[in-house]
Amino acid sequence: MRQKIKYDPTLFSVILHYLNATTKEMTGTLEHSARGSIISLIRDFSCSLYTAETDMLYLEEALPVHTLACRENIRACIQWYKEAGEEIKDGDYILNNDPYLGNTHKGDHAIFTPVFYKSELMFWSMVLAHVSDTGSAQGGSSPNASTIWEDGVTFPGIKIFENEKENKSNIHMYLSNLRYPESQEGDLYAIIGAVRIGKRRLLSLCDEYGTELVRYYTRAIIDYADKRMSEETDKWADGTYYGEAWSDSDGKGTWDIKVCCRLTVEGDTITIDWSESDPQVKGSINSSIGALKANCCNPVFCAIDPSIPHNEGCLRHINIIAPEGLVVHARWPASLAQATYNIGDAVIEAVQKALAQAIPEMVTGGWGRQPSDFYCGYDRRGKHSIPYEASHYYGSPGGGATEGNDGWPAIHAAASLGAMKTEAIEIHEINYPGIIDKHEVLTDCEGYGQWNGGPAIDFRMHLPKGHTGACESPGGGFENPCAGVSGGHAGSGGCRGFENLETGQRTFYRGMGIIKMDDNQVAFYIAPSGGGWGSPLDRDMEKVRDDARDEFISVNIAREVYGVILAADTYEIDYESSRKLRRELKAKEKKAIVTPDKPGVARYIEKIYKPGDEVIYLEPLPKNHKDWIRGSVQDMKTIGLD
Amino acid sequence: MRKNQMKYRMGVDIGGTFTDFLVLDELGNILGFKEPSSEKPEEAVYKGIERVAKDLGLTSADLLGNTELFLHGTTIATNTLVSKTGPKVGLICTKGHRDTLYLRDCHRWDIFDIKLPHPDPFIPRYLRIPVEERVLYDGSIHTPLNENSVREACEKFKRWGVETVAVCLLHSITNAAHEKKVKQLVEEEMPGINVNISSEVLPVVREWQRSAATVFNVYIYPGLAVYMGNMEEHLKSMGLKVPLLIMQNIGGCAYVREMLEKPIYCAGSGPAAGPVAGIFFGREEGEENVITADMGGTSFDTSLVKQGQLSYTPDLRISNIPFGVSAVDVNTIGAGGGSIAWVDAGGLLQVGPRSAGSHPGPACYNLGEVEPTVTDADLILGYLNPDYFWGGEMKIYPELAEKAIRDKIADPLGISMADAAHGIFEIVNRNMAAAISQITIEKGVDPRGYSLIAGGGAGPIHAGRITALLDMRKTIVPSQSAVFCSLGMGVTDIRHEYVKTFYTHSQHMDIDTINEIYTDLEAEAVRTLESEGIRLENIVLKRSVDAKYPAQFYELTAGVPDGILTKDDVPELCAAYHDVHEQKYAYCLKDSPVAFLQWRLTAIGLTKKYNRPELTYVGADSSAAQKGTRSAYFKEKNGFIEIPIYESSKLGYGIVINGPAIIETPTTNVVVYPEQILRVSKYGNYVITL
Repeated sequence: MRQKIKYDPTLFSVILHYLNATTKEMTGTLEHSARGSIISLIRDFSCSLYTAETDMLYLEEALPVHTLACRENIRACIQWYKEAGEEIKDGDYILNNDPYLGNTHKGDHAIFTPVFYKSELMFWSMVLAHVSDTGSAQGGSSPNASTIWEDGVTFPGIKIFENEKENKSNIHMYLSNLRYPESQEGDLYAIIGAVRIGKRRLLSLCDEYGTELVRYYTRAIIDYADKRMSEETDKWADGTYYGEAWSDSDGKGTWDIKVCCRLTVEGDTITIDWSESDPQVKGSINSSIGALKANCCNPVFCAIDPSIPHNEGCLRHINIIAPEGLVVHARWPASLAQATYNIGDAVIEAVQKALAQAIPEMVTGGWGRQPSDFYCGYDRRGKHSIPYEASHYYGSPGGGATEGNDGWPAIHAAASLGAMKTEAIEIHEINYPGIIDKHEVLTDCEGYGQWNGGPAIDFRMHLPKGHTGACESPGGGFENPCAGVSGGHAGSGGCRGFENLETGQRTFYRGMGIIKMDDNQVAFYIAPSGGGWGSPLDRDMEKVRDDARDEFISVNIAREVYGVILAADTYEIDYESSRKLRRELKAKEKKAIVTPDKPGVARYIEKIYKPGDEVIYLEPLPKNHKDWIRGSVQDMKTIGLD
Repeated sequence: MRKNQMKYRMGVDIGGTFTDFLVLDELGNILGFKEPSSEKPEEAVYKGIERVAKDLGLTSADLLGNTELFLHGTTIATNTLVSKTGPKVGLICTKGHRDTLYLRDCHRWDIFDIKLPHPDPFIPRYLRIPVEERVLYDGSIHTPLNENSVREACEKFKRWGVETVAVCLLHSITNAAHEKKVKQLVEEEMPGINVNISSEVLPVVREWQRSAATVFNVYIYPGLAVYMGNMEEHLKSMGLKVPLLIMQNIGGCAYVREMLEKPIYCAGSGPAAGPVAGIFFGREEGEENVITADMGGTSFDTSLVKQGQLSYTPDLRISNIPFGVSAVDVNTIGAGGGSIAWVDAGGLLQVGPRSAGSHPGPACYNLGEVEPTVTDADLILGYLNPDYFWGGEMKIYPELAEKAIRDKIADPLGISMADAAHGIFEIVNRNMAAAISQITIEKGVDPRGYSLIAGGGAGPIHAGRITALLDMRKTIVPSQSAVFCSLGMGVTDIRHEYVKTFYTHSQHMDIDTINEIYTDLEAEAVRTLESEGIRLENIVLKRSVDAKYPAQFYELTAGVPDGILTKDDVPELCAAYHDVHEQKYAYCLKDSPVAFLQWRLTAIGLTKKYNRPELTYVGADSSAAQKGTRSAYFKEKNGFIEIPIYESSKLGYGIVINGPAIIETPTTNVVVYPEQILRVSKYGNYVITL
């Protein structure tokens, strides 16, 4: 007869910590043994555990954009096997990168295995990792793709290992389709290793406590998150809140693409409806349903107590409505190459804008979008000319401010929340020919607030004599700045371009595409700043003084935006005049819950425009482009117009 | 031998709660002693010396006069950095790279915590001033140094009242000419100021860590110089005839003079002596593979000793800033006797990391604290004796422990007092076991082949349970385990680290340059150690190199053969790297070339060792040492049972005690769990096995 289990809070805590240690161990295995820089260095991967019923059990050391996508991935594959009448057996490792089969985008490769204990299915162990290459037509993240085939080769839930042994023909097929088979073979084994570590640890858990107790407590862990999530969301005021955000362009000539989030809080349940968003676009920025769901969870998880385990218990409270055919949930065979960032960052910002009306103290200003992350070419510094692809993630944008904290600098993108790393410039220059001339905070870079958004970064690099190369402009957030929240200002937006070293001629590039680099140019970009939180007129005067002294802002901005009057040389605060000025400015202030409320308002190029500058468009402009080209840029020589 | 002719080694370790003393005489006898730490840390040292001398029946002048080695571990460097009480530092950096300390590696480690504050860059931006210059990766000059920009930086520093200057320029480790010139110019412009350049402080690649090391170095220096100068002088006036030795974070000690040239080696040095003690006691018990577990009032320090060798971390951090020093790898978590137990919003029982410290301390101390701690749980479970706490010197109150646990844990969770106390006990044990997993399982080391060496006030109570959780071989509780870290100082050697960065590749090795590097480094090492009174035959030099496969980003450290190298040594150099890679990552690429980056030299000056005497065998019978019985809780026994209590001073070599049982010492209790057996070894250590 089955005995009723008596709940033991100690054992509960022990098993919770055990699962935490297991995902950490999986993460350590992959980070330290992989060869691709995107895994080993930048940590673009997530390790997670699922119950037999594919409820998400543990996922901490992970990228937010992978959170829910991992679960969708497993569920879609299992469903396929079921419908095909095929079985997933003990010792099978399934590889899936198909964004139309639960995955995020083609570059993310998921591998998972069932965990059977004495022939009883107990768990699933999984790793989702962004790999160096996935055989796409254009290379990089395919900024100008328009169909799913251009995104890369599809590996739709194939068995890469069976009965714990290599399926050699499938591995052969896999590696034959990739640009860097040698290092990617190493990465494949590193991923299998991490998944296997998860499996082993879960088996020893069953060994120690028996399957009945393990099932009981894993359910209890999910219920615990459910209970805490419910307590948190219950506190939020019931109602429907609206937020919208824009992606700059799609690589094929669609500009200011809108995503609309109608978020309803009802009791302890949140429903996020995307039905009003723009239809799917011709270019590469469409979102898969997996990436959409994950990106919806990101700002919600940010709004709850971080000590709540992010498992199925939380997910039970989030419903997502997204009809097929929209840019947030594209219909096959649309390209989904940029599903994770770009459109993903806009999705996150739309949810933030909606939540800002319900729980402003738990919402950050908008997070920046990655302007550029790699260049490639031939390294001709030694005797031989060696091809390279340098993923660097320098010059990454600022994070959003939050009540009580300024935003972090250089967080890569909203979809990663700063989970990735960059390498030392010295190490970069030893490995690759690029010379990094500048990697610094930009003064007066907006995102002003009581708490400032993470600063914009001013990045400049050039190639040594005799070198040429190419770099990608995935085009995020230059035209559409990060949102300001609760009276905070929006971020700066940004720009990218080249400066001719001999003539000083500057060329700006707008839109997405691959750009050629020469050795007589400096490539530059301004990575956008994050959005501010609260009115800048409420920022501590001493903090404003420190910001000015540290040249984050000028004395002018301190006066005009923050209402703080400083001595130009000593930065001493004139308290009395400042208080008076603040009162005056407050009377005129228009505080918005969120800003901006319309697309394309970033004006960074205007700010730095000099006569003689030119602009090249990397993709077609709208038909009415003469009216569309914004502000003083109209005076600029523009190339690429029809 | 008359007492006042006896020679001594003395170790003094200043902790947050207690200052520990250890005196080792030349017959190998150990005397341990704890003195409460004082506000001015050195005062507890002087006071303690007086008391130790008195215990030995000596004057402090006699004790110090006969002390051959006086070793000191201090947290002053760490405290200066953590509490930011050092001088105003100006940093000179390469134009375009002013924000290295601010941008870090761009990593947010707790992604969903939107209130996670961005770490302090340590030097504010207005004191980080770029100068016009640029050296490239190969040492070539891309932009010559603009001397005027240095003078302008100095003007700014003077205006802001900068007291000391750090210089870190890109690629200075490959070509230090610009850094040297900057130093000279700053010294001209700001006479009398202390200037450090990164290529001298820590010549390793990666500008963030190197900048931090240079800044930390100038920042710690003044306070350390005053503290050590004063202490050396004071001890001299008390009768000490030898110079003071300081414990370093790299696991050996150095004289004050050396220490003041590289103060960063003093940062985070506190727990580094623990594993040194682990090696010593492991050897006594014939164990080469041990894990040290030092559980004090606030924190739990654990470290791995593999084949008698210390483990190192390449990434020692203070206030979340890594500073490039490869230090003894000690994993510290907030788990100690004072760790507070609490129930979180979702009804989950948690222990730590917050601690009640020594004041107000656990609830049972009756010093005002009402929050339940691990010590309170230990008391309720019967592992502590309320009438014999600190040898009966301190009164504790079980009823207060009970009240705290009932109000804060048992009632809110709806469980019994015993279940609540045992829950706290079990969770803190699990946390400590997890801390050990981090330095073993998570690094591919199986702890089951290791013995646990338990130290600290609370360590021997919990050690037997941690060992069981990790399925480890045995528990060793050294005699005098309560002063564990100072024991390590009592047995350590002098140690200096040298490093030179030089990039070369196995397919076109520049052997001549490597030979030059080692000739220079080794001459410098020998010169330094000889000036410290170490004879040539007691000097050990160990070479190693940080290497990687060309496409990799992370280096691993591998051994380098001694003597003059030739082309024939290249395969051996590569093989050493393949081996390390295989061990750590479970694979290697035998056909791949290897890139070499940082050439390292460790110089050890062996100090005089005293061997401990063996005790006389007294047989297995423990009955004479039993002083009574007490009720204590054991989960295997489903609750409280009556168990024997033993007096540690009456336990001789050979005695065997079957668990469950408790041994009481004045500074700690040793709990022997059911099914465990304790044996007293010939050195008086307690060895617990299954």
